[in-house]
Amino acid sequence: MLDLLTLIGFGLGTGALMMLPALGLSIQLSVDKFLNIAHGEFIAMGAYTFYVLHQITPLPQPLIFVLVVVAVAATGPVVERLVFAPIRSRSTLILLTTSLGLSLILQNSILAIFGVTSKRVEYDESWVTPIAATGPLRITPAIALILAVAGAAALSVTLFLRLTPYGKALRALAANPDLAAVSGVPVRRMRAMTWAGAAGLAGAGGALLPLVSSFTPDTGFLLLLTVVAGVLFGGLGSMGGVILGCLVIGIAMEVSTMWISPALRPGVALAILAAVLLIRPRGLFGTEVLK
Amino acid sequence: MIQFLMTASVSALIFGLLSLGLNIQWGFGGMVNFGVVGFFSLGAYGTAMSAVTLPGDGGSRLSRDTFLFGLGLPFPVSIVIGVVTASVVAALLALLVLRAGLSDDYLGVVTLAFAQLLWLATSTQKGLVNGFNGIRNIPSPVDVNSPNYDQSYLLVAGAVAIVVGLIVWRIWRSPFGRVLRIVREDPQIGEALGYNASWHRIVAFTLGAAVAGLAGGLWAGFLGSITPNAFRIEETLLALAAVVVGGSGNVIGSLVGSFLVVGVINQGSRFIPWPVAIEEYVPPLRLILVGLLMVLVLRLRPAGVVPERLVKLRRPRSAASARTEVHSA
Repeated sequence: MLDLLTLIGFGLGTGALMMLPALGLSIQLSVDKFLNIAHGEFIAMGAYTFYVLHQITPLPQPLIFVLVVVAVAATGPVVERLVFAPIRSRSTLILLTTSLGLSLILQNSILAIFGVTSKRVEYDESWVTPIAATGPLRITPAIALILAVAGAAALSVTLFLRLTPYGKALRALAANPDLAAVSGVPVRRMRAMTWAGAAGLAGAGGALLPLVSSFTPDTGFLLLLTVVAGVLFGGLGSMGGVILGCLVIGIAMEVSTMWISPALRPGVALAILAAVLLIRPRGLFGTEVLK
Repeated sequence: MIQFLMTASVSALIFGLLSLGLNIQWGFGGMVNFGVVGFFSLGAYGTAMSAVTLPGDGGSRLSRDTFLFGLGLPFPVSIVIGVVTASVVAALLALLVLRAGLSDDYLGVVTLAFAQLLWLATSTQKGLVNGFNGIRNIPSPVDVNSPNYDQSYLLVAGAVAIVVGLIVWRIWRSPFGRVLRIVREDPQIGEALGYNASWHRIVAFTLGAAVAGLAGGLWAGFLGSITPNAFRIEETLLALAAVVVGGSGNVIGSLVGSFLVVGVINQGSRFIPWPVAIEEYVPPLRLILVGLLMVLVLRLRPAGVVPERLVKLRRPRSAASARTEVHSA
């Protein structure tokens, strides 16, 4: 039986890991107005690419991490152009179902290549020994690293959206695509950038996943549900909301294991999501525009 | 071979019912349901739990089976309970999402999460419905010991399917079905005409789940034993693929789609003598093929193999002589 503070420490790690794909999903959802179910597969791609590079190359892990993020980010725009661009004008129903079909293809491709048995990357003891300074939270270096990367990503995404001309163009595209197009925003390029960012952030989450757990071909798909809960809890379009939503849901999921079976953890995310949908459908800080 | 065809026919028929349930939601109502297997599962478990009898001492110590309950009711009553269970849960989920006026994305996520959770609960929580071991000795509506079991069951399931198909078709032609089509095309137009769009969609969603639950109950009765692994996400994807490929918005499309996706791709590929070297790759490849089919049909022929029929309606004589095409079944 783990005590409350330790579980909160775990929860911070879980939340931070969710935060990376959630930031990506939030941007893509704001720009495209449809939920890409295959977003979870970018997480799986990140984890498996990291695993493969770690197995076959002697490269240092930080370098592998960067390579994985670049590789997964590169698949985003390809997926967008090949699969979604031709049907963009159709109904949400069709886009959503297509993304589910895509998820099916990607997930089973991973299954066909790597098999159903779970994969893990070995780390030595020092990575999982709690840092003394964190006291009863018992945060391990692995979790601290995830928190740092997630924090850095959240900060850069926010600054990018607020301060750069590209960020401004992206927000314009999310607010009103037609108006953005006539105002000279390069819509195609911005969409490609959105998808590269979304996939890259999800890939980063996937690449960090081996630090804390083993993974199977359906890991990304299962994670997507909690990620979506995190995005909707905080409110679509609000980066601060996404950060808070992921941390709250991550901590709630881990703390819940004091009373319920750990297998049912995603249920906590769903329950929170249901409560949010009932009480405040827009989420805590939700607005219709990307901030 | 005849035996196999009979068994396969029952499976295909029940799967056709499941797709029909999904088609009411997807094709008729324009709503996504990525958790259709959850309602199938609720129907099956609801029926099974109502129909089985627990041994005298609860059976738990001797057989190590642990159930929450077993009512020992006759099969027809049990299947009604199964259908009601699926409908009530569907109504609650639909109320949660649709009443708040949220878009389809949310309904997709909520239903997907619901099915995933139900699977987790039924499989990992042993005291609930006996976990991975599942439920055995579910009574069947026809004599299990008869040599013609499959044939008799095919007749029973076939009769049920025909009745359900007719009811669905009738509903589709009814004023309710017409409003549903308007709401599907544009909820705001429906609202502007004075109809309650959310209410129509919630009812349609519940109806679809009821049909899926009925399919689940028939499935439990046919097999006599069910385990959580019969209700994995793959079933949802196959049902969705059947509706997409067959053609949304009509009864025949569901059946054609089920035949193509389940009969040809999923069952038919079992008969190809795969070399041992690639045998283990066949199940994922099959699902990749289903996924590809879905993506391609949605891109190239979104109406499916059997498109929803358009009938020409004549305007009242006073109006212009122009003819208008209106969606109809």
